[in-house]
Order: sequence, then structure tokens, then C-alpha cells
Amino acid sequence: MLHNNPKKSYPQRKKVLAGIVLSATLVSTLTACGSSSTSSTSGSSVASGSSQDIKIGEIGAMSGNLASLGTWDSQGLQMAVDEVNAKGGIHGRKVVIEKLDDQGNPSVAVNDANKLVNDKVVAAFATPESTTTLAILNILKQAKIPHITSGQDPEITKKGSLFVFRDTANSLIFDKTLADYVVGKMGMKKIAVISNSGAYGKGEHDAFVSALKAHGISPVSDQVVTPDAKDFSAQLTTIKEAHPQVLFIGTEEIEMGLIAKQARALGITARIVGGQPAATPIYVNTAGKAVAEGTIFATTYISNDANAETKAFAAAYKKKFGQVADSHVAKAYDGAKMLLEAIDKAYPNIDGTHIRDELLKLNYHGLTGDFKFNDQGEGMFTAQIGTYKNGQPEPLQ
Amino acid sequence: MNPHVTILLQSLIGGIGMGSIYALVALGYSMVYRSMGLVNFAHGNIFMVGAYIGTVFYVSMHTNFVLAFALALLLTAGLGMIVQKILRPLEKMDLIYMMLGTLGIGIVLQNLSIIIWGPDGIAVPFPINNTPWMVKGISIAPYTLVIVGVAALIVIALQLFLNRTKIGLAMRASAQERDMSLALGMNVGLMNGLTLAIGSALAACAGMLVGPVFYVSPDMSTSVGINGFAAAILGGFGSMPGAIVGGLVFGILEQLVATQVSAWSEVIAFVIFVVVLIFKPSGIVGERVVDKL
Repeated sequence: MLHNNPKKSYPQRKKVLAGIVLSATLVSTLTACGSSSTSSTSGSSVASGSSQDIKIGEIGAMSGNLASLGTWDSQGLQMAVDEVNAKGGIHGRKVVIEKLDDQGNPSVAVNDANKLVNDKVVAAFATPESTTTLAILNILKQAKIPHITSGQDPEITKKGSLFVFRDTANSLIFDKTLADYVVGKMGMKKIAVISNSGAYGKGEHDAFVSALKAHGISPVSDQVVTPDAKDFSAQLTTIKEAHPQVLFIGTEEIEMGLIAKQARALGITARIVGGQPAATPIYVNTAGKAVAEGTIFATTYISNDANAETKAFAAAYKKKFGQVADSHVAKAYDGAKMLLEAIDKAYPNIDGTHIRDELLKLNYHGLTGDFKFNDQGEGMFTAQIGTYKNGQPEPLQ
Repeated sequence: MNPHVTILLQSLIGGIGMGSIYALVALGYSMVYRSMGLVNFAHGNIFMVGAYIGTVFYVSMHTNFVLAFALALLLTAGLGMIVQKILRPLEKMDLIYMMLGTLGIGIVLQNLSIIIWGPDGIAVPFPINNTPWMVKGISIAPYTLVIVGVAALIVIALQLFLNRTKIGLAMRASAQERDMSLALGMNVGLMNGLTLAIGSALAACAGMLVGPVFYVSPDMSTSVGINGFAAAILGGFGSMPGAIVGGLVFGILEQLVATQVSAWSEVIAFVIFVVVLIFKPSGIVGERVVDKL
């Protein structure tokens, strides 16, 4: 212990004070970590909003490794809501969003879902990610709050919730399309698989491997990493020894980019293929343009130049957020438009059951394709194949 | 070549690369523990802030990599000085307060970096052409050699500084004989500040080196921070050679396990870590346990 310090000039009170200040900082930062929820609406805040407002909840990762997913979702939703409000709202009532950050963490997501139930939102945008969606599925089901998810794990719609709707295709569809192209069209036989142990990664792994099985192929190497891993050289070394022609990566955007980058650094020359995450600028940016070149991906939205609607959307998005639109934002915008349309049609009975019934009746033509929901909440049954040429995404079929 | 041998050699190369990073981080932990008897829980966060500072210069402001590297080291060393200043009032109280203090500073740094740089993180391109060289089926990425080389140079420079310069010797003296040093009129507070500054610069060096391999984001502090801490203990906490040996051993261990059972690599690496410490509590290098309490 440091008792015999001759420079003992601090009076006792100062020490106590320093201790108090320090523990106060600690507590306040800790609590800031635990409940970093923000409410945001266009114009007025939720708290001061009038009781006439229609309140929609939103849960997604706004911080942490998956923050980009939550941010995209949030922006797509915000665009759709702002459009409706600019036209006077739904039957004259303004739509407000209660936005909660789950940090990509299932236990925070559960807290957030309970908060939305308490705050009596009529519907929710929750969540952009499989693990957290699965965590809150039952809470929203019991509270009869219809919610839009863009998690792609096929399990989400198999849990018997009548209130979950997916605004994209599930992993089975993406990966079957991908396997059909890579094996059926390109004639590749030696395929290595690397995926993470999270819900999305596991869903991707199972879907892709079963799609390969349908072609009579099993992976030459099958590696699993953790969702927060950063160094993959060990797993990639094993893959390299199997000499694959194709490397399938079943993880979220950043991890996928890192794996691709590290694979090339290890001398793996196999063609890289992946699902929706490979179709995003985040993947290209993380991997680097040279590494991403030639990557084959399955998505519902290849580029902003696909047609007049996507061009108009991309221009509006750029104007509002100053960024280039991508598949995630387009998907979220589609999901939000469908939800708002269902609320509009259910009016004045804007409760969970009526909104759900209207969602089931919709025939929606969106930026990412045509939606028609079935009882399980699946609405999109096709995917497209694309690749990067000179750094730009373009269709392959 | 036999594929098992290839995998073994390949993971050795990968392990030495990551191990060098852990060794730099472990050195920071050990230096601070040695001189102040303090486990610096903010070290992982300082590592992350250092990586961010360098990356902001290199990627966002398009500074030359070497200059960005130097700036990251200097500025993060400054941050270390500031951390020591903040902790100084707690120095005369129970050590637990100081440890709590570092924990609090770590959380503040974590949240501050999310506020300043956003939650998304920055992708860092390799500063050199990283097309691997192939030697008998084993690939050697040029950047791995950069990591190992720079880490080795830094460690040698640090040794020279601590053993050959007056101020380095003063730092070692005040770490070993605090009271005597005070009696001789040495500014022990300044020496502690310097120790934290150098430890932080080492962390920044690790962060800057690993940036192009990883992805620079606020949550990078957790895994490297914990693994670096584990490496320091594995080598012998408070020992400088121990930190280097521990870092390399931990890096290689992690790689070897991961080539066998990939999803469980961290768990198994830590189990081995615990087993080693049960049989040799003082760590691999086996110096007597530095007891400052």
C-alpha cells in the first residue's frame, strides 16, 4: 500500500470527494450504456406528441458492430413515415416513431420490446436482425403487435407468431438461388463454407449446405467462427488446404468483408460468394474494392439503377441522408410502406389484429420486388444474382 | 508437403502475427502494474482509441501511414499522461479506488469514441501491397512481416530506453523502490505518468498495426484487451520478457486450437491458459510474483 507518501497534501475531504465524483461518473456512464434509448420523430418528440398521433415502435442496433443494420432500417422507415406525414398523415393523424436501440443484444431487445408494449404502439419495426427478432417474437405476439423484421433466419416465421412479417426473402431462398447459380450454372464442385455461430450465420450455413445437398454436393471444408471474431487466419488456413473453387461466407457485412480480405491475404483465390450482406457497400468497403471484385451475391436489390422507381428512391435518399442508397434501405422502405398502407386500410380500427389482417391482404409492388404475405409472414419468394464489376454491382442473370 | 504440417506452419505464422499484437498490449499492462501496482482496466479502451486516432489520420485525412502511426503513438501517449493525472488524487487511497477509476475511465473512453467517431467503425486498407508470397504451399502475407518487424523494433527500442537512458533508469528505479526514490527527490508521479504514457503508446502501436487486418470500431477493445491481459498473466504479470513470451504463446495457442475446433477456439485457449496457471501460477517466465500491495 502507498501509505508512506511524504507528499500527503490532499485533505481527507478531497479524497472522499474524488471518490464520489468518480463513482458518480462510473454509475452514470454505466446506466448510459444500459439504456441508450432515444426517441425520435420527425418534428415533435414522442413525449410531447398529441394523443392523436399514431405511434409506431422501432427496435434495432443503433450502436455496436451491427449498428449499420439498425441505421439503414431506421432511415428507410423514416423516409416512408416522412412521406406520409408530408401528405397530412394517416387520415389526418400524424405518424410518430418511438426508436429504441438494442445494440444488437437480445437481452436489451427484450427490454425494448417490453417498453414498446407498455407504450402501446400500434405496430413495430423490429428488428433488422435474426437473433434479436427471435428474442422478442413472443413478447410482441402476446401483445398482438404486428412487426416487420428483416432478419433472414428461416426459423423466425416457423415459431407460430401470427404477428411477424418479413420484408425480405429468408436465407433458404437466397441460398438456394445462390447454390443453383454457382453449382448449376457455373458448374463449381469444390465449395468451402465459413459461417458464424449467430442466428443469421447459422441460418445461412444450414440453408446453403442444404441447397448444396440438393445438387449432390457437400462442402470440402465447413468452418464456424464467432460473430465477434476479428482474426480468421486459423479457419481460413484449414479451408485453404481443401483447395476450394468457391468460398461461401455466411456472416454479417463487416465480418464477411474481413473474412474475404484475410482469405486473399492467405493466398486463397477461390471465388467468394455470399447472401444479402455481400450486396452492400459496407462489405465492399471492408474487404476493399480489389478483394470484392467478382464476388457473387444473392439479393433482392442489386443496384439503384435497376428501374425508374429505384432511381427516384436513390435520388430522394441521397437528398435526405447524403448517402448512396443500398439494398437494406430499399428493403426497409418497402417494409415501412407496407406497414403504413396496412394501418391506413385498417383505419379507424388501428389495433394489432386489424393491421395484421390488412398486411395479409396486401399485394405490394416495391423497390425490392413483389410482396404477398402468407400466414407465416413470409412475403418475398425470389432473389436475384449479382456481382461486382469494376467496383460496381450489376446483375448476373 | 503433408497437409498437417502445412496447417501447423501456417498457423504458427498467423500466431506469431497476432501474438506480436498481444505482446505489445501485454507489455502495457505489465509496465503499469510493475510501477504502480495497478491493473489498468482502461488499457483495452486506450488500445481502441489509439487505433482510431491513427486510422482517422491515415484513412480520413489521407496522411501517410508512417506519419499517422507516429501521431497515434504520440497522441495516445498524451492520453496516458492525462489518465495518470486523473488517477493521481486516488493514488493515496486504497488501490481498489484506482482500479475502479481505470474501469470508469475505460467506460468513458468507450462511450466518447462512439460519440466522436460513431458506432460504425472504419475499414482500413493495407498500407502496402499484401499479395502473399507462396513458399511450398505456405503463404506469407507481407503485412504480417510488417507487424512482427515493427513490434520487434518497438520492443528493442523500449529495452534500450529503459536500460540505457537516465530517465529510463529513473523510471525503473521508482518502480522498484518507490520510497527510496522519493527520498532521493525523484518525481515519482512524473515517472508513473511516463509509464502510463509509454504503455498507452504501445497499445496504440498494436491498434494501428492491427487496424488493416481487423476493422477499427469501438468494440475492438474487448477481445484484444482481454487477450492481451491474459497474455500478460500467462507470461508472468509484471514481467517484461513475460509479456512478450506470453503474447506470442497465447497468439500461437489460439491459432493452433482454432485450426482444429474453430468455433471453440477462444474457450479452449482460455482453458489451456487456466491449466497452465494452476501448475505455474507465476506464469511461463516464472519471475517471482511482483507484490506491490
